[in-house]
Amino acid sequence: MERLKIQEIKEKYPDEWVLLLEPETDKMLHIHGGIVAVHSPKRSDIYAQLQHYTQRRAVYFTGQFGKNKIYAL
Amino acid sequence: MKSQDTFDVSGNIIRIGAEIYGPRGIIVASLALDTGASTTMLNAGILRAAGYDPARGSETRLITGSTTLTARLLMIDRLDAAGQSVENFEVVCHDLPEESELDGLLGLNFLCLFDTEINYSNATIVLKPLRDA
Repeated sequence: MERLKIQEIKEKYPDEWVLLLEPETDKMLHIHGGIVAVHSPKRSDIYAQLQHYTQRRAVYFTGQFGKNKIYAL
Repeated sequence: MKSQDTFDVSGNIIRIGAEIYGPRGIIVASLALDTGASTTMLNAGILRAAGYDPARGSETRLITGSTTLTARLLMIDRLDAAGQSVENFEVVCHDLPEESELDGLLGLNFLCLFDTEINYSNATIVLKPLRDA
């Protein structure tokens, strides 16, 4: 597993959820990179795998956020 | 201390990076800033992965835009978001739809601890702890 920048992750796993190990974040917790341990089009797959790790890890969706969607939360 | 975060103005909601601390470590996730949510909400999968058992939370009524349902309130060790950190923080466990592309909502029980400014002119959110005001 190799460390990738966030743009590389987006290009390699478009419109997928990824589980990142050793996530590289800034002070505001924006993700800039990490090691992709798991990727899937389904969020539930990533959540299931999250439980197998105890080190700091991140969940990230690589698609364009909110594309063609209206939110009323 | 005052913090300033930036957000993507091309999105149609404000997405905030967050860290959830639990018995099974730290998870970095994405929450939507939601002033319509009285309590911060986290998806069950995130809470379980962080080491919490949603079933052990206290029962509450959760009123959403379309229905009222029973949900669980849990105390988590710590939540970091937008440059601020809150310990022993109460969250409600509820799954947002997968299509939301979110892990939860950052609600008023977090925001009310700060003077919060949302500035669309420069796409920033400024949080100033009330104790500093």
